[in-house]
Amino acid sequence: MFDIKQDQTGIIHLIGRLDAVSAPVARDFLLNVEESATLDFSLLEYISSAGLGILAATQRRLLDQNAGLRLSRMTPHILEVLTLAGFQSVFEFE
Amino acid sequence: MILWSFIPRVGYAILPVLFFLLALVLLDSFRLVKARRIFWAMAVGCLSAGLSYVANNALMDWTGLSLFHYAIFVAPLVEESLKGVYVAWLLGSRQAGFLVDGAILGFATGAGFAIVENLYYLKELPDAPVMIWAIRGLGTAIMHGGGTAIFAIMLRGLGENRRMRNPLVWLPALLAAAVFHGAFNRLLVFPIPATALILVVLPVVLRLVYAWGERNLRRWLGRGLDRDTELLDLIREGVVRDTPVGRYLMSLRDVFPAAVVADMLCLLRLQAELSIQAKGWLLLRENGLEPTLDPALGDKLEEVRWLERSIGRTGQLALRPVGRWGGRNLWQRHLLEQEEAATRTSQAG
Repeated sequence: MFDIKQDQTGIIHLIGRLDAVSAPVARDFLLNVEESATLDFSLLEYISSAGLGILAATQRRLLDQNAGLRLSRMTPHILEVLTLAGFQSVFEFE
Repeated sequence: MILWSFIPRVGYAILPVLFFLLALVLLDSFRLVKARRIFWAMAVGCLSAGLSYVANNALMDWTGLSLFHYAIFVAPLVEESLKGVYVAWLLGSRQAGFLVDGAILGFATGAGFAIVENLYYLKELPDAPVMIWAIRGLGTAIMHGGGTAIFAIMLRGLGENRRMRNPLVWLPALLAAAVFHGAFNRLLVFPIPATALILVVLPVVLRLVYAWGERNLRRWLGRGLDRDTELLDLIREGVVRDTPVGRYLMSLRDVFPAAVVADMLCLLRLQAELSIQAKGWLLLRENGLEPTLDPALGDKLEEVRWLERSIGRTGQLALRPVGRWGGRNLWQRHLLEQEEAATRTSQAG
């Protein structure tokens, strides 16, 4: 089960499991993001390579528009995976 | 005056194959091959051209064949073998792990060969019409690159689940490259159609191979990253013991000392970490992002080497069913070592 939604402050919340099945939902949502945004990972239990690919593609598109994603409140495990995968050098971590 | 008439000939003879090689490199979304490796492949190609010259002269005398028949039946085998040795070594040692990097390095080796061959003919036939050089540059040179690329692609494809040392893997790849090469030489009695044919067929074949290779790479990347992440999670949570991997490790306690089994677990964790790192880089690069090097990478690679020594050859063999560096995954280690060495060199410079 996966959900993605934006609150009144503009923060985007990822909820549940972002895997190959739910990746299209995240991709369609993030395609509408046109300026810098913060992604809140605190309720994200799991992220697979499909999710990582969507984050990378979104970041590439936003960087071309002089914007970018900030990744925040990751669980220790997701933080470790993202750090190992080199995401900390191309994303802003909060 | 002589120089001005010579320049276009050199350009026609050398530039098309370099542009073709550049196009192959630019089409690689994952940026699998570094410039230094392409340079070395071309240098080896140049060397193999020199060796082919010596071998062809000796064999033509020995066989007594006419130049026409020798060029169709023997020269392709000799030249494709000499170009192919280096490519086979790259693939066998997993320094090239996929169809795409295999094709690029194969083409680069063939391009090096073609450049030396064309320079030789430029020296021998300085007054040959510009059309000859256009045909040699656009046709023969690209055929040399394409022939070795075909060899690499077939070797990679056929060797996927077999050992590269197996001649049953080598032979069909070598024969395919030699037949392609020999057919081109045979068609050279009609040079313009032969050149036109190769310029139409080869880009289409290589584009299809790229598309197929990149699809497989993406699949491997996705599955591998998820498996590595899962394993890392199990080890970190301390629940690996309840998994098939953990049970396998526990069974090794009957054979290996406890300290060695502990090192095996450390090695598995480190391998999973490095594997995620390599695949994360590929994933980011595919999206046009360039990650910076993990400052601890050098230490981690050194630790892996230490753990491998501690476990020993037998221990590594025992770990193979659950390890992360077997087969194609070994390529990841070369990628990381290469990145680490390149960063160290640039920092020192």
